[in-house]
Amino acid sequence: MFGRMPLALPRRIEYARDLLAVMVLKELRVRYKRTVLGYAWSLLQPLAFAVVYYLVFKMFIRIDTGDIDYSLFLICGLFAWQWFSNGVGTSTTALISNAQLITKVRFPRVYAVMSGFMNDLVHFLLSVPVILAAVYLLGNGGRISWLWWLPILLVIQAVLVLGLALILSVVTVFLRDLERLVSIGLVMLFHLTPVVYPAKIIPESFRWMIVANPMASLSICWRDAWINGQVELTLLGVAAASAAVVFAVGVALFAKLQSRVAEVV
Amino acid sequence: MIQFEGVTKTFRQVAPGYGLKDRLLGRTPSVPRAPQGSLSSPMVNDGVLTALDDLTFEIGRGEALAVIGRNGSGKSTCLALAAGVIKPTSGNVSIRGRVSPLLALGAGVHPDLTGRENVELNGVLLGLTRREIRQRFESIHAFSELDEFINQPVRHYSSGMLARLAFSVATHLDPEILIVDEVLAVGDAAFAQKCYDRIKSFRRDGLTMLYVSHDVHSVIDLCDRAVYLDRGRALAEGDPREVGQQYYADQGMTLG
Repeated sequence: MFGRMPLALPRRIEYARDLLAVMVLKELRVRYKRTVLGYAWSLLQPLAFAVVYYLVFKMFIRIDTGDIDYSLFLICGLFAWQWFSNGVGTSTTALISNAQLITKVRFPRVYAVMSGFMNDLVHFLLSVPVILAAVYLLGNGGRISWLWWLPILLVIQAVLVLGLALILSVVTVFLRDLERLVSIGLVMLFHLTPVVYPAKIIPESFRWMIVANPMASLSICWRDAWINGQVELTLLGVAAASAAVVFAVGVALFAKLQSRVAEVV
Repeated sequence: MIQFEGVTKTFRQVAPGYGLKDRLLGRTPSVPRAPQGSLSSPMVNDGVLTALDDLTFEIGRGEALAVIGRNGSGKSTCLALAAGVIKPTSGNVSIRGRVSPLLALGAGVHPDLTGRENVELNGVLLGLTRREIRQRFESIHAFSELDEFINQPVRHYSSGMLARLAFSVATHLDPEILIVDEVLAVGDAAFAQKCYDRIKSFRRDGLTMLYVSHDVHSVIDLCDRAVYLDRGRALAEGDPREVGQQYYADQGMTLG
């Protein structure tokens, strides 16, 4: 052609991009190759749960969410929770399940974690149109101020999930029990997080839990952003601060332990 | 080139079934005793296994060095260090040049992906960009002799076909340093010969090579020098035929 393309990336960057791309593609292809419904599962799972929660909490327990339609309430929280739960849950095995690679090939180990993280991020992004459709069909509609909050909340939750993934992936290599602990812990945390119920039903004496659990403040923010186009800045700040701390710990821990992973995994 | 300077590698042995419960209860792991009698069982002290003990050698540019020794003598640890997968406990390993670890044959092969997808995955894991793989794909495909099977999921492959796929990718990396770990025992006789010829042609092109094998004949044929490892120490180093003879003699055999 015309020699080197002027816009060609430096090889190192091109390589990093390609390594991430093939690892993510591998995860996506492997996860869905042998299923009939494929990618649709990432939407079907939370929607199926939404139906059950609607039945239990709306029809049986008659939970009060004010003038917000309860199915909309669920949809605005469940997808973000699913992202968190999948991202954290699969991260415990991110390094272990790639043991074959890690013990034989020299590549930056962080890509094994990044690929799972990107995968779950993509699934969340794919669910955004569904949430939007719900907001317009079931909400009072017409607000576009959520546009401002969407990328901010996305970044905060991404930093939180990646931070936890870095911690859990590398520690699980040395302490296999963590895989079990995390899957139990996630179910417990789900019940303590205001996803299927509004935060206002939490008694005053337990309100500290919202601050202690970054997913609680994030869930409240997501819902506020989608439905009302605004968020409570204190909660946003709390979520951002805890995400930053978790991320810093994750990076430090991963950097410290990663060179020993190939010997133990 | 590859340089090992006073390299020692120890592994902490983990007792089977030592988990959170034992850790919480403050139990120390009870490590199974390795048999101490036999010649090549590695040294174990207080649950610390010394796989390599103060090992020094050097492979110059264009040189081929073989590492021979019985099972457990530290050969695989040597390769893993040279491939950069693990780090030495003390000492220094320095590598200059692009390494193609043939010990990684098929490490990144995923059974649910097709041959084509696996070529891309493995090629990138071994250091190529996707663009470079696309440029080489036809050549890789031709060398593998897989024909239309390249679009089939790898789980339908025979083990010989799998080895052909992996070897084809690994030899298309433009390596400067080849790390070879008993890969010639794969595939049928014809393909094994093809792999062997490929390695020989790499040698003629002046590639640096670290070669590990039990097959002393191929060591003599392919390598300039040999190191005889026992319990992580170099017992002998020099001409591959002489070192090979000593290795055979220690096992009560003679080199034909």
